[in-house]
Amino acid sequence: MLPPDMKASFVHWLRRRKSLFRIAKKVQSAYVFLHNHVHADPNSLRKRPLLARRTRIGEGTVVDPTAFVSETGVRIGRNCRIGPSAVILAHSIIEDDAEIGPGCVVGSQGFVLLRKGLRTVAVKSTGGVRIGRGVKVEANSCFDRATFRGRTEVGDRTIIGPAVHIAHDVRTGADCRIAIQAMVAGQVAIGDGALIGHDSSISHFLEIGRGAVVKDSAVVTKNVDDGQVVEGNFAIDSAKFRKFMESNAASGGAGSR
Amino acid sequence: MKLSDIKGGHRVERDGEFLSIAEMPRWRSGALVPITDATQIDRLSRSNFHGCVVISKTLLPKVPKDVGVIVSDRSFEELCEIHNDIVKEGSFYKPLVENVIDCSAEIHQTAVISGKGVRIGKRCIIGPKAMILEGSTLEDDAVIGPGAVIGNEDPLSFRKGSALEKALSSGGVIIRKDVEIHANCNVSRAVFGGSTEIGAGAKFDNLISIGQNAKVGERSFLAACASIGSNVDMGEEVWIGPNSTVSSGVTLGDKAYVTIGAVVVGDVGQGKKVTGNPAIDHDIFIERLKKMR
Repeated sequence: MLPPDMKASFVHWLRRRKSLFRIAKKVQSAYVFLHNHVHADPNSLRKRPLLARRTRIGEGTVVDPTAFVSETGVRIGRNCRIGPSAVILAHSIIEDDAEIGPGCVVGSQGFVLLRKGLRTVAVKSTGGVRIGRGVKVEANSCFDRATFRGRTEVGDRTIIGPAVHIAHDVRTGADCRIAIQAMVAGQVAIGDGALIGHDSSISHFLEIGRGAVVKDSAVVTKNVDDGQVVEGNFAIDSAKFRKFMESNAASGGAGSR
Repeated sequence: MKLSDIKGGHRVERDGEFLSIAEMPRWRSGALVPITDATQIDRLSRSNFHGCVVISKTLLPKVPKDVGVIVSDRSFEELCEIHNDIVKEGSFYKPLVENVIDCSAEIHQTAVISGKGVRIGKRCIIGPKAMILEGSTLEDDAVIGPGAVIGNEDPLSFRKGSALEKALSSGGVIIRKDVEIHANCNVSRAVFGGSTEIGAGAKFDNLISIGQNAKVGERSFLAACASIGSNVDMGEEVWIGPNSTVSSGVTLGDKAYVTIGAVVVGDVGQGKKVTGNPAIDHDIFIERLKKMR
């Protein structure tokens, strides 16, 4: 598979050429059909599936007795803490010193669907999740597995608030902060040290630059450059947004739109 | 049940019989319905409604002749009081039946299934730490993800004097065939009898909450963190974008498209695409956005 950033530009290029896009859709559905039958079948001939390996939990890790950790296919490092009622499913890797809060779900199925007339084909996720060193995750956050191969990655020392959704194939850099109820859609790449504000949403295939700031309740639908601050629904540059709001208020215009 | 049989000194203008209690827009014929504004009674009288209404005195002339009426200026609160009294009395709503769980269902050892009133169909899969509570029905091939809660009580409440009182839940949840619900979703059970309905083939992402008595259409897709208010009526093949909100009592037509982060406060027609907070037509929204950019 292509890396997510290349895939994003490829998809946009395809969308502009409609006939090609239609053919690509057919190829995609054929690929998914094969994928669902070959990879997601537990009896498939895939080499050494991670699922078959026994779960390993490192020294000094405290797993709450009410938490559920899959018996196979999980690797948890040293000195981690897994909170009460958390669920760690197969194909997850949690590195040293990470903290997973109560009720979190790591390694759930991704939300990749294809409509075929009245039928819906759900793409069975076959990738995994990797949670970096020293990551702290608060209550009820969810991490989806990567769709095809590779892993959904959460970078080292990232802090994630409660009720955050990290979708399939997302890659966040190191030292990110993702606040309460934020939603990061599929295949997004977030740069190191970015701040994702609370209740904000990031649309799929996007790239958020290093040290970028997405303000509270922003809805990001375009790439954000390094160090840029964005705001609003849909999000635009924060300076522009503020200026527009002020000029609108001065001229007696109603609201932002 | 007859309006005159209800205890508690409610003002019955015209007697009538009702079989259930429902709210707009998901009313059923033969129901007792609270009416809060003029558009609702217009809609009701147009649609050949038989049953009873709780309505304020100003709207009384608009009520059709064969409909039973209770007059109250606080129609919704009055209805909640009636409902709570009926629930406590206990003969109106059907009691919860024994659990019926098909042997081909895969239920995880850490999942919680309530002791009463649960039905689970063939080949259902219930994930770890999922909870299936009272009054939930899962039809064949449903998949409930880890940590999802089906049939929790809705925090619907009303003012009684100065205190805030909670309406007691008496309905359930029906999850039709081939529904997939992912991690940490919440589906509330209906309060006034009836059921919250998830249509056949609907797919839910993580962290979705569904309000009481809402109807999710067949083959609809709900992306992550979406929240659907109570009494929402949804058509088929609707797309609800990630982190979007649909307010209570809104109707969404077939193939409606709610984009990412939208807050839908009004009805959306068939095949319409809406964006923004509050949500407006997508094309108009983008035009306005271009001015800002």
